[in-house]
Amino acid sequence: MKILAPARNGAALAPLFDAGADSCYIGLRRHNARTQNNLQDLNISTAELAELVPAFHAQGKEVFIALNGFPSDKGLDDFAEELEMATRLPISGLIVANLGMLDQVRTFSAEVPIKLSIQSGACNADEIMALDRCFTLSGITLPRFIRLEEVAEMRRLLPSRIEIEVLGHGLICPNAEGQCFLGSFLLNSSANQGGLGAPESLAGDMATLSVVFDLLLDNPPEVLEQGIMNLHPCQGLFYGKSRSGHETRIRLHEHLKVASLELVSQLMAAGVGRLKIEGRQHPLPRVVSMVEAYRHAVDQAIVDGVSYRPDAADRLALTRFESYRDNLTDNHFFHNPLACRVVTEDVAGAGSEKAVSP
Amino acid sequence: MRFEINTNKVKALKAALTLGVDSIAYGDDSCTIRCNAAWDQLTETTIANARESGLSLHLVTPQLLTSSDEVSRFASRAADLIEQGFTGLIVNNMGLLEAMRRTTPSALKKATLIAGRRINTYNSKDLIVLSRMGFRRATANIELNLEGISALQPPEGMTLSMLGYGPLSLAYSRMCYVMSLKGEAEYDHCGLACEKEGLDLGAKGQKPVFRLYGREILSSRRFCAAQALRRLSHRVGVLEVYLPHVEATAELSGAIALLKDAMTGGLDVSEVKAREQALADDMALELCNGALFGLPGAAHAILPA
Repeated sequence: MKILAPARNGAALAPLFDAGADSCYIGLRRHNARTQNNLQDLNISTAELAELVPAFHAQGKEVFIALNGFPSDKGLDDFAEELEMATRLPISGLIVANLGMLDQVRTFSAEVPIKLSIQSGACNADEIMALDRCFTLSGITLPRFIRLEEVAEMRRLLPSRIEIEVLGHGLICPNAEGQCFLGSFLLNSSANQGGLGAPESLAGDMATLSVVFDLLLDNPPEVLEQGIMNLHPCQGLFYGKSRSGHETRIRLHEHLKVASLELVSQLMAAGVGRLKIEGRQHPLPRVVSMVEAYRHAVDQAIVDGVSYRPDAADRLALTRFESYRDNLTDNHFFHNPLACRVVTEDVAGAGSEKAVSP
Repeated sequence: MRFEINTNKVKALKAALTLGVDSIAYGDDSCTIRCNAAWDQLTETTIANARESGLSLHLVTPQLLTSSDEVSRFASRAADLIEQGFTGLIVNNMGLLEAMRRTTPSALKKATLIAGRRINTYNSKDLIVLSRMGFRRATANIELNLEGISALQPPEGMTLSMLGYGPLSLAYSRMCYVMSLKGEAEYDHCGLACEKEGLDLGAKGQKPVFRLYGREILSSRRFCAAQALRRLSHRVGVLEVYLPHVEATAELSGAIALLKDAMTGGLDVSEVKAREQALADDMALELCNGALFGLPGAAHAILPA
């Protein structure tokens, strides 16, 4: 099982490979799911890519290019140019979700490997094979709601040339991939079209905020009525501060992350070919720490087989930059409901769960 | 421009006959994948009567099918309903289509293929691909604004549809917070236990709130495209009125009358706005169209001049 790491930009590639990543994914300036202006130093130019990729390729390291947005006709204007530049390089594949983009890639090149993006939401073997017949796929990143047993079933049903990749470490979103329009609705910034990588602010807009809180709670919290609010729908995180200074945080998950350190040997047994670590917008030291932990875990699992247990140091590495309420969360592979709860908390106080009442 | 109502209520279906709509998109994800609690079962007589009245019946099929068993089960169910008289198949998962091609090709040939919301149609190249795959209609993604929809160029033989009226889908969730909060172990195949146990999440006083259903999260407001119809009539062939869980035929008839008048009634923008406001007042609803006009925050009830 290979490890796929998220590269924020060109400078991140070497440290991530040094940390043990077999492969990295990175975005060009446009046409990927992280193109928003409020994230600095994100993505890479085709010129820089051309400078860096051949050397990594010579070392046997893989670089995938994320082209996983859902552009409108206008947004597709310069896609051909970006596509041509990317496919001239010795990249290991393109990560694509949109049907029109998939078609354009295949029209341009019959050879370039295509990995079906997690954003495509393709979630069963028949669906993947239908798309494979049209576009000849080399891999698929499965949606996060797929159970471990379903991963194993797909491995049995799909041809071996289609590699199965799962999200091993990253955000658990309550919404299905490619089917979240919350950002578009609330902020006019579409997660499907490159928006929503960092919190956005709304000030005193209770018409909008009340819509959010209708979803989350019985009533909009009083403290927010005249305050400001930061939204980070991709993390299920909503943060409000009143004019009097009272702060409240609401989040849709008890556990914000999936971490599959404990499951590495089971994922390998299920036929997972590549483990994806998510988070191109995260600081490099944090991602490097994740990659090192998973590198060690995968190597250990190869030796230990079914008796594999995660190393305490690896667990510690994962928690160095992120906090977990209950150790590590691998619940989503088993659909444990604890992975999905509405939690409110005062910033200064302890969290408390609040049930949705009729 | 033709009109299609999305509903899973027989009452609304009957109302459609008198409202002059062209087709019914029957069912929704919750009814097909989870259980039959949310939709009224159609008898063969009802189907026959609808067809005799000139109404086309299109079957809405599930979005998230994660095992081969599920795919096979719903492919078989869809084939049965086509044999009973459904003439269109609204496809939301390509796996279902693939399975039907393999197992029930004769039934599939009888149905017009329609790319549903989950197929994520954003650009003209999507339409070309879908056309090659045998689709004859596709629904423009709700994130597209006026400019995005206007730019879409359906290939010959392909019809474009769009949401004309109804709550915007804010997200499609695999997780149900309600069941999670109740501490149930299986939150994704809950069988709509929330409804069975009397947890009416669809109404909060008189104001509709987010509909959870464990699946689709809908806006609390009604999106209305009436003001933009004349500018889109050259592109859009079918206008969808999406009120799958609403039995209130007054809203259904009010919305269809508004859309029809806005398109053909010679109303100017101020008259359309007045009609929208009247409908909103009558139904105690808020209307919005920010998504269509690309305004910041599609939730905003902003009606541009």
